[in-house]
Amino acid sequence: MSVTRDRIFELIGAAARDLNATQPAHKPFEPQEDTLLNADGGELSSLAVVTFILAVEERLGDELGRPVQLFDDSLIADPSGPFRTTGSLADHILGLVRTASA
Amino acid sequence: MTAGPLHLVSDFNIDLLASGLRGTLGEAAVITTAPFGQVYQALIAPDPAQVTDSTTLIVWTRPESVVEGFRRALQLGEVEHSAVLAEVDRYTQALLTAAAACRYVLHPTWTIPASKRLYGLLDLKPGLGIRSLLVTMNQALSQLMEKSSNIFVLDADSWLRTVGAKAYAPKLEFITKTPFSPPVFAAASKDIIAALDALEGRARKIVVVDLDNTLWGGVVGDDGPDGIHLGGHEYIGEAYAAFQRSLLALTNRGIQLAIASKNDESLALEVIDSHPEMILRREHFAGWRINWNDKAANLVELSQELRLGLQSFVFIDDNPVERSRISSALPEVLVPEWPAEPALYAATLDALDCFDVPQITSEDFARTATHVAERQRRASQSGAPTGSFSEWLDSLETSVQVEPLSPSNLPRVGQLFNKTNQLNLTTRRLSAAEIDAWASAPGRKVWAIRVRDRFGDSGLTGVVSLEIDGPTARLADLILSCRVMGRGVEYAMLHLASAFAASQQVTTLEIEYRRTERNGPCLKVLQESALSRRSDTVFVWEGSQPYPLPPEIRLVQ
Repeated sequence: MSVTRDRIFELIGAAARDLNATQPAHKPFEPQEDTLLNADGGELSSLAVVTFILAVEERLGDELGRPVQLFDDSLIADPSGPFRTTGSLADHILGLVRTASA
Repeated sequence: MTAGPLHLVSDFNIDLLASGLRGTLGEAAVITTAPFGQVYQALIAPDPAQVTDSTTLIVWTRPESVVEGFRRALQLGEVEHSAVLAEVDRYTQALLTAAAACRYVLHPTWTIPASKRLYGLLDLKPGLGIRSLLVTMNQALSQLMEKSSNIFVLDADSWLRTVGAKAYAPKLEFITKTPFSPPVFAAASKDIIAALDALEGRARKIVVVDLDNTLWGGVVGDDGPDGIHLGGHEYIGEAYAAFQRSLLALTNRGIQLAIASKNDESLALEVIDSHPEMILRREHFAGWRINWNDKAANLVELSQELRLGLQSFVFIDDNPVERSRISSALPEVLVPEWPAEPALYAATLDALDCFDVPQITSEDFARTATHVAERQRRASQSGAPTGSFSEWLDSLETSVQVEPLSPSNLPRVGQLFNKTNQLNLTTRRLSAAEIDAWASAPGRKVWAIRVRDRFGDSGLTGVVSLEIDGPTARLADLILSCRVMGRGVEYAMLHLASAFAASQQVTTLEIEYRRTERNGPCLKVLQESALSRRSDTVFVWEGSQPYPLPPEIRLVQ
């Protein structure tokens, strides 16, 4: 099964809602294309970023019907890597899904 | 909302709980976290910069992290359960030590993942099973609530059940030392906020219900008393009966009921009095407004009649338009989202967390009878148009019984300190332990007041406390339940305090009113009293004679 980039963004939105259960109600995390994640200036704490990535991973696994390995120690430590923004995260997921489908 | 400082103690990364609490309490909330993994140190020798007598400790631990024997038991090693329970005893002693140094301790029950099979079929066998051992360990935690009035054990299992199979998050735990998924922390945060509301006296006290399609199915004006759905053998009637049973259960723990319904009053009351399947009868309702008026206006009238602030109200109505009207007109009233499906009414009511209180006393259990007496009292007042107000007061034959503070009345006194808003001189919120400690200092007195009249016993409904310093005494607390306000008991309490002060050669009794959003009625009592006024908020009684006892009150000491 494959997913589109739009669908990936829907899953990212659902994961954000999971995270928002533990975030201040007056400033919920509402990811847009260029929302910073682990880059400098991001609004989430490092714990919240990890929690969010794992929530996306779980949503994606449910969508594809198989476990997905999205979290990566080396990538989470790289502020210019695929977890830099929500958009780069979506691109990263799309690449992972296409590689797995190839 | 406001809350005192919170200090989180845990063996795991609890930052998601801290952010969840901050999400509700606001950025200004003081929430600190002990270094994780240092539970015993944080309990026995808390950091004085973070834990004071105004702090609420939230201690959330995993049993295998704080009880070494349980860790070995979880690995199915050979472990004597009695030895594990001895370790639990040491842990609970540490909690008692911590409780003595702070305001409250909230401790979730210990849990293990539901997916663990452990001894399987034998896992609840006493002496062997791990779940059997965990049940006993949690009982030991719960027993702390009997040993200390400021420790409260929360049901963490309910948080895990809410989330289901994904409650434990092993990957998140391995990466961040956070063992639970975010929804568990969200459920915990909601439950803890409800506990803090209860401890700070913000519990709701009355449920106002609609009638048609809320208390029974159908519209009585159209369908007639025999045509409504209630009880019987159809599911819809069963659903409304179940909802009424849940409401009745609330009254049994001291929550009042009232009615706000757009209906013909005589027809609606006919159903309430005579329908064979009605579970709630007229005597279960503290008041009602059954008419065609705006429901917001009706709720305001009920608030005045029952002497309960609107912040004590919950409003339940099947009609979303009426719910929206109350939400916008009276934002203090809690208006829960209500399901369209009547079969969910009882469960929705049962799930409301706004009625939690830190203590339930005999006064709570007797409240329904008290309300019936109050309604009769009001009826006797309105039914005697030729008599003066003082004649009516005299006819009540009110007696005020005075008791010194004692272990038997301390729980109820604590409840009055934390629940009473309107006739409350300072609204200082103290736990039972704090009141006891305050009263034990030299020169201080605390009295509990019981009120009864010819209509019934209102129970322990007032507190007066006094602090003497040489020739001057200060009234520290003047607290009276709204149930007995306006019958002269307030002035009998002033008499009591001033008479004691006079007996101690005190010549001046000072009474300083501290304004809150809700204690205006207390200021009115002081302004209408015979006290001298030193300023807008300071009143005095001077001389060797006590403040006069109202003639219609009999004081029993």
